[in-house]
Amino acid sequence: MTSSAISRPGQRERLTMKLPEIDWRLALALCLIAGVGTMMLYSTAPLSWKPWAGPHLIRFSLCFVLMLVLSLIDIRVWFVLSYPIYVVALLLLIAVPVIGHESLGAKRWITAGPLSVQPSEIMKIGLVLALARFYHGVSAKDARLSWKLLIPAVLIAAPTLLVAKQPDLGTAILIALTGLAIMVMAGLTWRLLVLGGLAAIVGAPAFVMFVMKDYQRDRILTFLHPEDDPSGSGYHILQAKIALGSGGFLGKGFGLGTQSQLNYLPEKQTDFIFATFAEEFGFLGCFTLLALYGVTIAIALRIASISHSHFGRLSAAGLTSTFALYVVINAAMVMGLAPVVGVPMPLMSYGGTEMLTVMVGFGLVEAVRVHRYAEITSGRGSLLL
Amino acid sequence: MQRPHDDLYRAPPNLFRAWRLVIEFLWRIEHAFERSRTRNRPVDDTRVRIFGVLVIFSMLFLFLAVKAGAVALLNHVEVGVEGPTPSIHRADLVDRNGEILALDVPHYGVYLDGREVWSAKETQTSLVTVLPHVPVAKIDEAVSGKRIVLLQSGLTAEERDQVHDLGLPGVSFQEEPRRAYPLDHQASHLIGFADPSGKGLSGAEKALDADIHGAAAAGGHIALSMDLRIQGALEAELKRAVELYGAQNAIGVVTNVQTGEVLALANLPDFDPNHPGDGDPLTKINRAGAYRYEMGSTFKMFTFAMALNEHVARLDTVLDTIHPLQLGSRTIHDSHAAGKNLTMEEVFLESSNIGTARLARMAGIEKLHSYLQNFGVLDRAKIELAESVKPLAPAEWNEDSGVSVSFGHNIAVTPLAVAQGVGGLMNGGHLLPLTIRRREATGAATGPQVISPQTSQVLLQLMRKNVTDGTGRNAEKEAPGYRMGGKTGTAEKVINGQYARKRLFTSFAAVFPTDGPLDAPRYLVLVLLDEPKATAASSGNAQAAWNAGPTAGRVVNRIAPMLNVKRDLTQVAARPIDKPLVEDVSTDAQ
Repeated sequence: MTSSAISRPGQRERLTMKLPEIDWRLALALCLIAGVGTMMLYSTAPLSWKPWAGPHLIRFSLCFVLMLVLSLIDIRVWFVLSYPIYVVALLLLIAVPVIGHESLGAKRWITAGPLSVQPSEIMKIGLVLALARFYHGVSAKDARLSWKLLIPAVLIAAPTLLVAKQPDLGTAILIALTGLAIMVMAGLTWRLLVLGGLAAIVGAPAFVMFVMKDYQRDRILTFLHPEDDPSGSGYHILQAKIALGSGGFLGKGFGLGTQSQLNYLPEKQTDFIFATFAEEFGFLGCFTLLALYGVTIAIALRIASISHSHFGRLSAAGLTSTFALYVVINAAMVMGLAPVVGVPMPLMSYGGTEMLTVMVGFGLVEAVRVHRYAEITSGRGSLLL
Repeated sequence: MQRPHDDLYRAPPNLFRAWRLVIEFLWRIEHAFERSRTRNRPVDDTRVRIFGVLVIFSMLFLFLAVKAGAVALLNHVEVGVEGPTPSIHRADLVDRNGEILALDVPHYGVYLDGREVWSAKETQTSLVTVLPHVPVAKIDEAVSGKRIVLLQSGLTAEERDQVHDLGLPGVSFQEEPRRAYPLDHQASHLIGFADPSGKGLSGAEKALDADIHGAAAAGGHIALSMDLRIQGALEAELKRAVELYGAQNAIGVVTNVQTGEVLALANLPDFDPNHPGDGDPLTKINRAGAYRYEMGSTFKMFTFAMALNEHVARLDTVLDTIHPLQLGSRTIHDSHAAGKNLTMEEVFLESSNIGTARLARMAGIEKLHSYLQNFGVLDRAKIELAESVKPLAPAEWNEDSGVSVSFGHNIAVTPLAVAQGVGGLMNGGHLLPLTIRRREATGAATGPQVISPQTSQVLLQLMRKNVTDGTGRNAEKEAPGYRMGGKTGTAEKVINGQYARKRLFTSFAAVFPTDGPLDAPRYLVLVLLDEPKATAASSGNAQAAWNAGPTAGRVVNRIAPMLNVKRDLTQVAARPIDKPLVEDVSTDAQ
């Protein structure tokens, strides 16, 4: 441990002091996952760097560098920026229906010149920071149960509803669950959770019947009975199940999965890449991959819990929760345990936006580790920008 | 000492034993947090909670891993590459006379497994010569590769034989049937099309999908009710109407009213089912079943059928057609008011809105509603086609909305629903579902009796009279001697919730022959024109009497011989009619 050097004032800001403080085990785990992803994209192409594997690797390399850069930024900077980021993301989300760019029936993008941004992705980071910022200035008693909790509830509900309206159910669920996880970690009483859970069980059928759009309801029904509609909306799930089932214990071998190679599996390079992986590497591969994700999450949560500041703890834990929820929802979706809601497998699925979000998130987690001794005293932060 | 948060230490409510255990457990956890809090160390609390979240995620991951194991090891699916599609083969579709409409043409995909190749050079050079469309690089890659690669799909049988005759190891074929529609554009909406995986997507291909697969397995074919000759005549006449009158769309349906069989169904513009991806998507919609139109006066047939069947008036009953009908704030006018009171028969022949509205009020809106329900026009037309939608009918049936409905306003129905309903009036009163499959001759129609045979007989005569003396005279000129009856309808289209004065939707329902017993062979020709213009060919008029009517007449003239209906020149309405032909445009009552 070089913590002694880090704790000496004046030495902390030096790059040579900061770099060793980055958690390289976490960095290695991320590289391993992205490597597996690249390998699978190479296999599905099939056996080609084009069109997915090559760009995937390049994107990851760039994002990895970005992560290292972000990890060197003092978390007090993020502390100060947390509310502004949230507000900007929220304004962009509100603007999406007005000036958004429609693609595949959903308005999720805002285009400004050559730049396209997906406000819901900024919100994934912004919400975590805003909640961590909020709880930083709240007493443990208030975090447990008080009227002040209406503020985080609104902070979570507003983006969730806006994103669900786009419509992007997967991201909305992700944002809502991440927010809930932070509230729980910050100290929300268990009783409210149990009550809320019960209310959800009672209210869910009503929500499905009256609030959801037809296609969303269809997805839920298809998820419950995919065999009813094997060529329609149930196709994804069935084909994914076939891919999973045909893998066996050791899998068919690299590049030999028929489901994905012969295009029976739709979205094989994005949301359903886990099915491709399962087909080619079997149960053992799945288990290993999930373990790899699990280790990553464990390391990141460990980083969260050793941070000295409440803000650092909660933001690192919240961002890790987002990552973990990605994995859980995607894996459950591919296995037919959850409806198809369009959540990718982080760092494995092809797609630049999610990778950027995830790696920025881990950049913040690393920043929390590097600056774990940083004290954030007042509600305004010690670095005023 | 006073404990903070005293309420926390209260014993949980004593409800059920199990419930209490749960509460107790949660309470204990909370108590642990509380202790750390009272020791003034909220940090520990968050750390414990972060650990708790980690535990939850670990459990979820473990569960997912176990589930993946269960799926992979226990639920071994042996579907392989076939997927869940039951069969890709489809039976031939033929018309009622056995003419081929759709068939599977076998094509083949050629695959190469690099691991089985003996001589890379020989394989490479010979494949390049017989598969000129495959890039050489692709063949090279496949030859040296270690997996099965699809080189080319869509080979014909001869092309496959060419490759096969090379006798190369590692080359294999997979049959991939493709659907071919030899008629191209003809009857495209009725036949529909299927996707390359053998799934019917529209028309008969979708409606009869299961049977088509079944017939393919049994080695048979599916006969449609359609008659290719009649279809041809209908399409030719619709095409002519589009050219003559400048209509945007033309729709035509020919049915056998005694069996419900659809003998022809056409929409213009149409599409080529061999290339369903090409062209304007709107052309693929079967407007006869998937679009709803306000029919205008054609709809009056239903009101008359109700009034006659309920005996609210006789054909010679005089109705007040001088005074406009006051309905709340609205007044029902006739655009060509006769200036005198008309008999019920004259109301039909002059297509008077006031007269028809009075009939509806005499019977009562409730009656009209229940009759329309019986006639099937308040529901989707019963037909195998998926392209058959429900009408847009008033949500509430009161004096105001119902009276508009009586002359074809305030209600939008599909042409197929009209064909089904009118057919039921013309065959002795049996409402028959429409069908696109050939029926064997079964004699008299059987179906729910919606009007009495007597009413049906009177309606047939009324329809005939309308063609000889009423608004259908121009149609009779085109089909002399076929004892045709018919009713015109001209409605202003609703554009953005407003009736557009210059954009009309015209229709003509022709039935022939009108004589003979009620169960004699009888056919319905329904022609609908969307936005016809007033052109020289229609003597500067845009109403149904000058476009849809004559078109239907020409269709009748062409198809009657095919249907064995003999021309009887003694029955030609030869006498000159001096009174001018006026037709009421069904318009928004002001």
